[in-house]
Amino acid sequence: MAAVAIIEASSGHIGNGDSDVARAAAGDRGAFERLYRLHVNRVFSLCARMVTDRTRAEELTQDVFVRAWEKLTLFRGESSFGTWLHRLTVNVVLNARKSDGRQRSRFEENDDESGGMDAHAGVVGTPLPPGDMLDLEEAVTRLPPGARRVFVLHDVEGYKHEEIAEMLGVTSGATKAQLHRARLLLRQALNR
Amino acid sequence: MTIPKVSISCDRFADKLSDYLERDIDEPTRAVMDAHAAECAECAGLLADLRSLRLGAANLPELAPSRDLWAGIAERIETPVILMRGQQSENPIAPSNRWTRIWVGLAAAGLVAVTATVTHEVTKRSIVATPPVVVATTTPSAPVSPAATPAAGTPKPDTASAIQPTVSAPTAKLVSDRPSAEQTYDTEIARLRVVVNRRRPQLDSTTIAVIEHNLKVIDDAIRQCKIALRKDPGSQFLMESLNDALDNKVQLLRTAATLPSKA
Repeated sequence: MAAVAIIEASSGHIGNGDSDVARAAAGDRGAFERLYRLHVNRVFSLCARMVTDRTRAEELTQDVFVRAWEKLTLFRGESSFGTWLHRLTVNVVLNARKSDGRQRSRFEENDDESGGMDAHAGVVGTPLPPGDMLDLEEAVTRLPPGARRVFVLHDVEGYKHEEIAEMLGVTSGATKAQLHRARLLLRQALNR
Repeated sequence: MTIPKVSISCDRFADKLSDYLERDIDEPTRAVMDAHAAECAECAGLLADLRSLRLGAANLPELAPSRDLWAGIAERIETPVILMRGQQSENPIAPSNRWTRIWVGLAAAGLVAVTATVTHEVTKRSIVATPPVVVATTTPSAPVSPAATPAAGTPKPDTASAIQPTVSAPTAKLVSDRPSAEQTYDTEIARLRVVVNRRRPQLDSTTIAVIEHNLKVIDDAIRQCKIALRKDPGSQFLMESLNDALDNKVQLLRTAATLPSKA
C-alpha cells in the first residue's frame, strides 16, 4: 500500500518511532505528541480528501489522535504503527460519515442520483469558476461523495477493492463501479 | 474513430478498462485490449488519461492542517488518571473506553437500587430512635445547597444533585479509613467537569442529555449513600458503595471528556 509505505518510511527517518509508540502506550504524552507530529499531515490528508471540508477534516484529525491515544494499548505491533493509525483514520472518517450523513444528508443521499461533479464542494469551499482548469486535488473534492471515497481509498491510499468494500459495507463490484465512475468524472473535469 | 480490427468494441474496452488497469484480467483479454488501443485513438487516449490519473493520485502531496491541532488533542487526552481505591490498573492510560455510557448507567441504576434498599433497611431499623431523614425517592427539584454538600470547600462539580435533607445533619466523613479519597475524587470530578463543560459546544445535544441523565443517576446514588452513611458511618458496605458511585462518575466524565466532536 503506497500511502502506508510512506508513513512507515517517514517513521524510519526518526528512528525512535517504535520506542515512542511503546512510551506513548505507557502513558507518555510527550512521546505521543512526537507521534502526532510525525503522522499528522498524513492523517489530515486522508481526512481532508475524504470529507473535503478543511475544518471538518481538522476536527476529524483530532478525533483520530484522541482515539489512537485511547486505543494505543490495543496496538499489538502486528502491523506498523503507521498502518494501524491509517486504518484507524479510515474508521473514524467512515464512522463520522454516518453522523454527518444524518445531518447533511443532501450530498450523501444524492450520490447515486447525481451524475457529475459537485461544483460547490471543495477543500477550499469555493465554487469553481466555469471553464477553469481544475487540478487533480480540487477535482477530487468535487466528486460525488461515494465515488470520492472509493477513489481516495483506492487510487490515493492504495487500498484494495476487497478492503474498501469491507470498510464501506458494500460489494467489491460496487466499489469497482464507483471507482470507474470517479475516474471518468475526473478525466472529464481535468480535460474540460 | 479508427475501427478496431480486433473483436472488442469501444464500449467493451471502456467497461474492462478498470480491470485492465488493476491487472485483473487474463492475458488474452489484455492482449485484445492492447491491440484495440493500438488502433483506436479515442480508447488509447482514455487509457493514457486514466493511467496518468492513477499516477497523479498516488503521488498527491501531503496536505497540512491550517493550524496546530495538538493543543485540542492534548486538552482532550490530558484528563489525569488518578488511581482510586481498588483500581489496580496496570495500564496508565485512561481506560475511558472500558466503561460505556450504557454500562455506567446500568451500574449506577443497580447501585441506586442497592443503596436504596440499604437506606430503607437502615432507616427502618433506626426510625424509632432518630428523626426522619428524607431519602432520594423524594422529588428532585432544588439545586444542592452548601449545607447539603458533604465536604466543606469542595468545588461544586455539577448541578445534578437535588435533594436536601430535612435535618441539618453534620457532614458525614465519607471514607473514614481513607481520608484523602473524597478530596481526590472531588478534585478529579471538578477537573473533569471543567473539561466536559468546555467541550459541550462540540458535543451532540442528545449525547449531552444522555451524559447528564447518567450523571444524575450516579449523583442520586452518591447522595443516598451519603444519607445512609450519616446513619451508619461505620458501614463498610456503604463506604464501598459510595466509592463505587464516585468511581463511576469519574469514569463517565472521563468518557465524556474524550468523546469525538459532533459533525
